[in-house]
Amino acid sequence: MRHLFSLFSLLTLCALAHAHNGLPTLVLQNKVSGPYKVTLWADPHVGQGNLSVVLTPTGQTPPDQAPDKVEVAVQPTSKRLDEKIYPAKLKFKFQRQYPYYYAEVPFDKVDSWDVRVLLHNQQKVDVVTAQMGTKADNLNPWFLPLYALPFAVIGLIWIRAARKKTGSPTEI
Amino acid sequence: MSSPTAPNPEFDLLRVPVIGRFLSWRRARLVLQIPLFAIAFLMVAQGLTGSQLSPKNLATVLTWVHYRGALIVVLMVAGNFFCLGCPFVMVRDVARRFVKPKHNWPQRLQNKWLALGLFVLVLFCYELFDLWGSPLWTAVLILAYFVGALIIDTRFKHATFCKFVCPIGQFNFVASTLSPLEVKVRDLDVCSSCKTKDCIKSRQETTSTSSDIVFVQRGCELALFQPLKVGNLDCTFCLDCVHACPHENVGILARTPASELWNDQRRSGVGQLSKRNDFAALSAIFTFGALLNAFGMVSPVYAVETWLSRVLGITSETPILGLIFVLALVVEPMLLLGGAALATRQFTRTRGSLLTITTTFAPTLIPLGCGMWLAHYTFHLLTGLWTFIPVFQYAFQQWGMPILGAPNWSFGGIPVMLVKPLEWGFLALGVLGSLLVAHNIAKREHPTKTTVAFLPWAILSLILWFCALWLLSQPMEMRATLLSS
Repeated sequence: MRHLFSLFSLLTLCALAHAHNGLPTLVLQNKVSGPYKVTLWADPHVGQGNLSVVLTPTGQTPPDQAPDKVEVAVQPTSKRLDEKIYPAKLKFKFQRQYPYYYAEVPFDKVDSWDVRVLLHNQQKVDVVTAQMGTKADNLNPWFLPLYALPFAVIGLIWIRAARKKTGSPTEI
Repeated sequence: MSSPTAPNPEFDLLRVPVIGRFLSWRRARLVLQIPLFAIAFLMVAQGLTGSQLSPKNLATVLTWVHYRGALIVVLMVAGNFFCLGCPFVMVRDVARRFVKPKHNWPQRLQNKWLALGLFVLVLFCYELFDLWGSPLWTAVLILAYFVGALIIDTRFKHATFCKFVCPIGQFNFVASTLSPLEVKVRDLDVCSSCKTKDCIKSRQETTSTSSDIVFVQRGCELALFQPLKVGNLDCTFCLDCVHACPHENVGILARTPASELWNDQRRSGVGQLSKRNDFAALSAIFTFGALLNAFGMVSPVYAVETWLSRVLGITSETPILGLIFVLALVVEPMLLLGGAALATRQFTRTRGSLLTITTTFAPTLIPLGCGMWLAHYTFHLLTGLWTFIPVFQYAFQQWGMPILGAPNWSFGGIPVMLVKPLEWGFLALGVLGSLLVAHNIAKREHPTKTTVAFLPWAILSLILWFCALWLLSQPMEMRATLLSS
C-alpha cells in the first residue's frame, strides 16, 4: 500500500513537471566559453518558458567534468525590466546519459530578450550572451470552434454512413 | 477482353484524372518504390557513417519524425499506399529474378502470431535502446527489414514477408481498416462471368514463338480473391489485381471507414474475424501499444521506472521495461477485455466463452488505437515538419557535396499550440469510431439486447479514451530533436 501511495504521488507530481513542450528553438550553437562549447535551446513561450543549456567540452576538459553551477539571466532588450537570474538544473533521465541544464523562466510578454548563460567554475564565471524572442503560447479561444468544426462534420458524416451500413454482410 | 464495366456511382480513385491513370500504369509501383528506396539508402548510409547526434541524422529524423507521421496520415486519409511503395518489396522482387522461391510458408505459421511478436519486439527495442536517439541502430533496424524481406521471400513463395512477418505491414493492415479507400471489385456480375480469375491466379500468355507459358502479370500474392475480398485487411495496395484483371473491373473505391470491422462475413485470405484469435490479439496490441508508446515519452514513465527499480531492487532497465510491457500489453488488456466480455455475457445471458466474446468485440479497439497513433505521430510530424531540410543539408555537407547549402537549423515546424487541438480532434474521432464499431457488433451479435451488449465495450472505449487524453496532456519528450541527444 505504501509503495502504491508513493507511485501515485510520483505520477501526480510528474504530471506537474514541465518538459520541453514542443520543438525547442535553437538560440545559439557551439559558442566556445572557457572549457565548454555552449548550445542554448529555448521554449520561449509567454508565461512559463524554459531554456536548456547543452555543454560539450572543447577538448581541454574531460567529458565528466561539469561546472559547479549553471545559471541563466534574462532581461528585455529594451531594459524595461531588471535582469533576473534563474538556476539551471542538471537533468538526467533514468538510466540514460543525456545530461543538459534546464531552467524554467517566466516571460511576461512577446518581446526581444537578452540572455546570458553563466557557467560557474572554481570561483570563475564564464559568460555567453545571446538574444531571443518570445512567442505567445495560447491559442485564441475563438479558434477552437474553427478547429472543432471539421472534426464534428467528419464525425456526423461517419455516423450517417455507418447507420446506412446495417452491418449485414454483402452477399456475393 | 470485354469492355470496361458500367459507370459506378461510387468514388473510384483509378478514375480520377492523372492520379488514376498513373496508378493504373503497370510501372507505378516501381516509380513509387525507387525514391523510397533511394531515401532509405541515404538514411542507412548516414545512420551507419554519419553524425551520431540523432537530430542531425537522416536515419533518426526521417524515420521517427517524418516516416511514422506520414504513414499514419496517408492510411487515415487514403489507404495503404506506403505498402504500395515499399522499398523492401522492390529489393526482393529484384532478387526473385535470380532466386525463385520454392517453399510454402509453414502451415502453423500462417497467422499473425509471429508478426505480432515482432511488432512487440520492435516497440520494446525502441524504448530499451532509445532508437529515436541512435542513428546507428535505426539504420540497423532498416537494414534488418531489407534483409528479412530478402531472406524470407527468396525462400518462401508469394508475399510471405508482408502477410506473416512484417511488423510495419501488420500495423498498416490494422490501421487501413479505417481507411476511406479500398481496392475492390467494381461490379460483381462481371466477376461471376469471369473464366480466368487472373486477379488471383496471375495472367499468363503463350509466346508467339513457342508454346511456353509466360507470366505477364502476377495475381494477388496475399491470397485475396477479389470477388470474395472484404475490406483492407492483408491488402498491400500492390494493385497486382488491378493490372491482372482482364475486364478492368478492380478499382480503388470509397467506402465507410471501419465498416469492415463489424462485418463478420468470411473473407478471402483472412477468414471470419470473429474466429481469428490472432487478429483479436493484434487489435489489442495495436491499441494498447499506442498508449504504451506514448507513455514511454512522458515524464511519468521515468517515475514508474524509478519506483519499480526501488521496490524490486533492480538497477538494470531491461527487466523493469519488460515488466512494464507485460503489464501494459498482457495483464491490462486481459483484465479490461476480459471484464468487458464477462459483463457482456452476464448482461445478455449468453453462454459463449470469454475468449469468443473478446475475439468478437476486439475490433472495437482499433479506431481508438488509430486515433492515438494519429494524434501522437502527427504531433511529432507537424511540430518537426521542416527539420528534414537542415538534416538533408547537413548530410550532403558531411559527404563533401554542400549542394543544398549550409544547414539552417532554425527550421522547425508548426507551433505546438496549433497542433494540440488536432490531437484532441483525432482522439475524439477515434473514440467515436470505437463506439460505432462496438454498437454495430453488438447489434449483429445480440439484435434483441443490443444496448446491454454494447454498454461494457462503450465503457471500455471511454476508459481508454480518458487514458489517451491524460497521456497527451503530459509534456511530451521531443524525440529526434537536439535535447533528446
